[in-house]
Amino acid sequence: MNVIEQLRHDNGLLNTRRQFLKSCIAGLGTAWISSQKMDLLAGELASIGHVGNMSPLDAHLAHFAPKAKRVIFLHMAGAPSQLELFDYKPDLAKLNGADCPKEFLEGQNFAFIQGVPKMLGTQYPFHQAGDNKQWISDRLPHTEKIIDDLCIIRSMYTDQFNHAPAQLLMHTGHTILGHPAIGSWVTYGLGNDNQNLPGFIVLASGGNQPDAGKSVWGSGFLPSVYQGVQCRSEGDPVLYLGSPEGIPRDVRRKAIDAITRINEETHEEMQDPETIARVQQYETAFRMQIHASDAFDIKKEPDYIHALYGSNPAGSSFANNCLLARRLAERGTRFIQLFDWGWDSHGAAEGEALNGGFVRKCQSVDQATYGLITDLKQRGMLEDTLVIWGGEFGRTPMRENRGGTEMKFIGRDHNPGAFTIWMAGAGIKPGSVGETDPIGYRAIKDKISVYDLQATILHSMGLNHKKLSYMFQGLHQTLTPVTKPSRVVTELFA
Amino acid sequence: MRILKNFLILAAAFSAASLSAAEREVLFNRDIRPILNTSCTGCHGGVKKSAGVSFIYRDEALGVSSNGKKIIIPGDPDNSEVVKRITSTDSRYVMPPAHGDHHREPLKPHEIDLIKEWIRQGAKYEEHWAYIPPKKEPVETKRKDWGSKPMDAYVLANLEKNNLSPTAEAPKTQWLRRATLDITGLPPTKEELDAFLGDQSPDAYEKTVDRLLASPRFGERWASMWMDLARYSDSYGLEKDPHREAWPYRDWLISAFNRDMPYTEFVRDQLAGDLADKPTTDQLKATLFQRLTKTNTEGGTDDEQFRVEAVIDRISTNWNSLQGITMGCVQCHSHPYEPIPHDDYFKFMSYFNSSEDCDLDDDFPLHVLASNPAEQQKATDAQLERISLQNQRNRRGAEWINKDQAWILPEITDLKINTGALKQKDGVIFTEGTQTQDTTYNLTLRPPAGTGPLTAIKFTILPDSDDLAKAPFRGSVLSNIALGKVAPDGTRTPVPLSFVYGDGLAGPNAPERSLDQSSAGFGGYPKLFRKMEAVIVLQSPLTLAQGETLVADLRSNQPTSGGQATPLRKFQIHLIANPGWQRLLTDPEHVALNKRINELNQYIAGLKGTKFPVMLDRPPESTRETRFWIGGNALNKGKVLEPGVPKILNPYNAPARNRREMSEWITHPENSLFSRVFVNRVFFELFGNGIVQTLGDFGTTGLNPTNQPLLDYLAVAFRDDYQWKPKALIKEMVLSSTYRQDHKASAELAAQDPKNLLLARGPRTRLSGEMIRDQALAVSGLLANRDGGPSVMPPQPGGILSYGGWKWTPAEGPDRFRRALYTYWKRTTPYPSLMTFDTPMRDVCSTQRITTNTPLQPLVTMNDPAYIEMARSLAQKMEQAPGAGPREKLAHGYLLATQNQPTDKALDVLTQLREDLVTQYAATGPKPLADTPDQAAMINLASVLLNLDTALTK
Repeated sequence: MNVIEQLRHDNGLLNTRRQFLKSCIAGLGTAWISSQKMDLLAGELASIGHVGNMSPLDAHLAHFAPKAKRVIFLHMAGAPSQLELFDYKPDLAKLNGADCPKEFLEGQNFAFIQGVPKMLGTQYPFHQAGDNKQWISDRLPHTEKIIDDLCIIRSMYTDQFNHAPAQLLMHTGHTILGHPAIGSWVTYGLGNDNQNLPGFIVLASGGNQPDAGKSVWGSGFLPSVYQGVQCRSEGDPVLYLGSPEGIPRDVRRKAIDAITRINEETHEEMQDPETIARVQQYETAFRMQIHASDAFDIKKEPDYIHALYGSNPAGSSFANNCLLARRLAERGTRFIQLFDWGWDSHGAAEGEALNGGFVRKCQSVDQATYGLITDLKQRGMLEDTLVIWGGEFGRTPMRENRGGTEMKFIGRDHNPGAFTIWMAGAGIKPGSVGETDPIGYRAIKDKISVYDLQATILHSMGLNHKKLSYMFQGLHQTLTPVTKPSRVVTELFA
Repeated sequence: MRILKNFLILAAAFSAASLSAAEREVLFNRDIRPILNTSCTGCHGGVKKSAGVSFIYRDEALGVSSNGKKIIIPGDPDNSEVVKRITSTDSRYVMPPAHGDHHREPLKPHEIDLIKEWIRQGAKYEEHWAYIPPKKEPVETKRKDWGSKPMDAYVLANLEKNNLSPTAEAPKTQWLRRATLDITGLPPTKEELDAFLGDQSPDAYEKTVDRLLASPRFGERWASMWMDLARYSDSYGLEKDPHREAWPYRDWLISAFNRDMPYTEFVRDQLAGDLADKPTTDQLKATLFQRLTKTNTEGGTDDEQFRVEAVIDRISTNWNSLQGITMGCVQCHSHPYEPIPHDDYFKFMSYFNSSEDCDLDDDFPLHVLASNPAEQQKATDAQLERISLQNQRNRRGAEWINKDQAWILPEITDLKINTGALKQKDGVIFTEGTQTQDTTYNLTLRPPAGTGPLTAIKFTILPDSDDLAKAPFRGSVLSNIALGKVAPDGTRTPVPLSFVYGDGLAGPNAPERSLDQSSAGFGGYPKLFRKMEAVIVLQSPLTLAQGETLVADLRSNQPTSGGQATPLRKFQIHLIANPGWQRLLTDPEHVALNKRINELNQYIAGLKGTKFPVMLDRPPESTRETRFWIGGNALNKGKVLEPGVPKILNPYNAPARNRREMSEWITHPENSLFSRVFVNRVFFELFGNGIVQTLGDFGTTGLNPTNQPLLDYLAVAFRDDYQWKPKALIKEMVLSSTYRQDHKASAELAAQDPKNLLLARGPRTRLSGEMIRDQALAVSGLLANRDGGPSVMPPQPGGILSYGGWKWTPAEGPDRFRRALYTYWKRTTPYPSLMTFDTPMRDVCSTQRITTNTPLQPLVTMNDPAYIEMARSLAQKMEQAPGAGPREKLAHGYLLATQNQPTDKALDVLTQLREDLVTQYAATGPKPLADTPDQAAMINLASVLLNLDTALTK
């Protein structure tokens, strides 16, 4: 028998047990998913007894001991300028206003730069901060206070220079649509610890969804049960979470009890395990209505916590989302993905200029991220929560000159060659990694690709990025494409 | 003990390998291939031939490894290296490897026995089952009194083999609900139910099926299935995700299913309807199947990258949906498990590599669908005629571009450019530095002394490199051309120009656009694939006096839709004094063509209607070269490849030199996959499982059929008996005794075959996302049945972010209550309640929905305001039940929602709930849900009914 047949056979055995019917919360497709999981775990966890009747979201063990129980990924959509925040380049300041040397332009693809642009020095003063004497600009005064908790990676690079493909690459490992997001992979690989909340939650701020749309948290070719659940900026945080007006909770309770009793009778007659699974799902939905509503109710936080994050229950903001992220993390949500839109500082308008909207974007995330790290730390959660902050690529050391002419506002074009992210918590060693060239155009030392970052995130969750796979289109598909080199950056861990 | 026996039977059914190997013939497909694919082929297959060993082809497996060992010696297992390896106890030597990245579980003793015995018996390979054409196998059953359709015998034989027997026939109500939902996607009405229950005639079932198949709702339900394969969407996808006029394709699907279009024609039109002898409007609509790829309109993108991604998407989609073969992996290397070599991917790519579409923002090329149906074919004919005549007109000049030998290279005495630098060497003009989106050139030309009156000027746009493996190059467009004659005193006189011939037409802009003041013109746009030449004919021959020069001014200002500049970077200019060029334009043929093209232009410009994206090929003189991608890398190209299909799948040697022939190859009656893949898909829709459970993978990594004689019978019957007509196929299935079985299972049977793969009982499956919505609309009386047209936006909650402030504008009136398949499908934010019930995002071809059962689903059907609206309406219908008390009203509602009578116990539960809720609402007040406690309670009861397991399944 091959693995799949073996598994179907095992399933047949397990299905005969009454308790399986009682404990099964998954639907059709269980055998399918189990067979896939069997495949992914084969050789790693051959001794696991429950693989055969695993339901899609059952919690289960990792490939090896994880460092992170959960991930909070703060994606600054649009790509913040590393040259105004973390990557200090005094030589670039000296070149300010000079024609860009030819060797930087030839063979390069730019989104908008035309002709010969001018070099653009950093727009804000830098200084060294913290025990590690890290360079940071004056735009992030709150982040500066937690700088000794962060590992600043200045040598990130990617191979995409447009937002949608670069965001897809960052979250799905591929530039084309149809691949699962990291959070979907993690939920597929590890299941869900808290069945009363989705295991992969997405929160967006900044007034727009990310450029690549829902695909950056889609489940791609994985079953849709693994897709990220986007929690909304208004109304019910989880779609349809609230009972309709005029249907109080005890009415709902009685209704579900009636559904359960009739469905149990149906099951007696039909013997369809899906019917029992459905009974369970209605129970879970009922509990979720309380638990999730509670999780999303930031009004329950005391004033000093709101003061810490800069959050305000009356509105919606990145700060509110950071606070929500902590509340979800506390309740066992495994992958919490934040997107904050509006970092695309081309300089084509005031709102997207380094000397305009960028300043306000910095203010809107600075205190909130500081609050999140501080709060996780004071609750003892930072040690097993991996927090990642960054964009999908970096920005050029040249000033953007759209159409070949100087623009009214100051901005920079997209730069896949170098960008800065930071990581914190879950055994990540504070400090800094990597260097860029003297003008911050390309990463040159200890370069880390997007694929490396993905391998490292999975590793921190106890998953081997080469083994976490799903059979699709005849291939063992993985998060990081088999055709691209990727490695776990073990140096990042203490 | 009995349970244990059942397991053994089951094990035997799934794995004949449990018998002792020596007792019988070892068969490669049944016994050996699964072992190889699980444990060996990953390293010793189409991708990697570690140590020079591959098990894909027999002659390779019988060869010698790179360290000189004979891998398999037929008849001599003990001296075959493979046996030495799999039986070795040395952990450094044993296969599969015991350590390292590629380590696998060691082979089990019975697997080793099988391999030894197989080699002893001669190591015979068999073709993978799916590559052998299907045959109707004779079938013998012990029981003779069961079965109403030919397929039943195959099901029964398989049951008997597994010591099972069919379940009794389903109650009429159960069958009617299942068949009605399966055929039309909607539940039966009360009237239909009554009529069927009252009809005792022997052909009551058949009459019902005929009625359902004739219903216009039939096409809607089956179009829904195909829309997943076609990745149907009303938007482009990616960042800005703008609107796409795709609905004519959806309507074509509905109509094709309703007309019972033969499946071969149905597929041929979607693959190559545009290449038919005289394409109809419908055939062009069908080609949207190819055009439903993503188009990227984000600023700063490389259009070529997304053009090629669309081509790759087409390859995957066509193979996956029609052939059940995965081709994605062959992009980078030979197929790891199938005998499909790497080259074949690019041969297949070339069918799609020369289409006109190139990721432009307007989705070019578009076809105008006249809003007046009577006008549609005329409009189509006009648009196609225009393309044909434009090519005809251009070819008259194009053939002279090369034939004419008298081209003169002028001396270029001055060259200027506004950005970067412009230089010349050996008659070639080239730029240096960077050119912007708006680049102007000023050239001064002096023809050699003694040149006669000039009649034309030729521009040769040269590729950046002579090595065309490096193509495509950045775009290069010739636009805003003006010529002048400059006297020695500097006076400039314009030289009027009349027409432009290109060496081939392609892209959105006709060559003559180079002469107008727009930025468009002749050239490589958005990319340059080869040397391109254009001849600009002067209005009248031009004589230059002593000391006079010719100046040519150009302005290249047509950036690509992604914002990339398209300047001329390397080009040549020639002049000619041959008066034949003017004569080309005064020739009656040119005049007549011009006249007709102008008429067509006017007619088409005046058409009212929708513009939908269409598949159109570039003319033969403008095809794009298709090359091998080394290592699957688009930037590292190798040899040029001609179109072709994999040899293994073309034993009947159908010609396949172009896309149209390829469509005939796929739909060929001898194609071993084509019919099987479709009948299997229909079977999945009706029975809940495919006979091959992996609907999109019939290759060696897919699951083997649970009942191959059944699959093959259906495939042959569909082809020969039913002449590819889907309705006849569906009719056989729903009238079969197999389908008509009760889906009630004994605990024993449920344990033995939980997924009902063997079909010893009737199918019981959850409704699809579309059916759940449509059923609730139908039973509550809200459903608005209207045929086709643009997609609609039923209400959805606010606060769902999308890009750039795009808003979901909720429909008014009946459009709020249309069937789910008409719901506007926006790729970046698909309709949430359908997504919750497993509708795929439709970014890419989805061959199979995996039905899940999650807590987010009850949140939709209990809390979505749309479902509350439906519950409210259903409650009103229950209240209107004729002259009855609460219990009868509830029974009536139960019947409406499930088309079944409730049991007494269920009715007790419902009645009790109603009483409790009336009491409670009387105490707390019914508002804002309803005006009276009775109404409020009944709305809750209606919601309960819509959420019952019996309402959500069929």
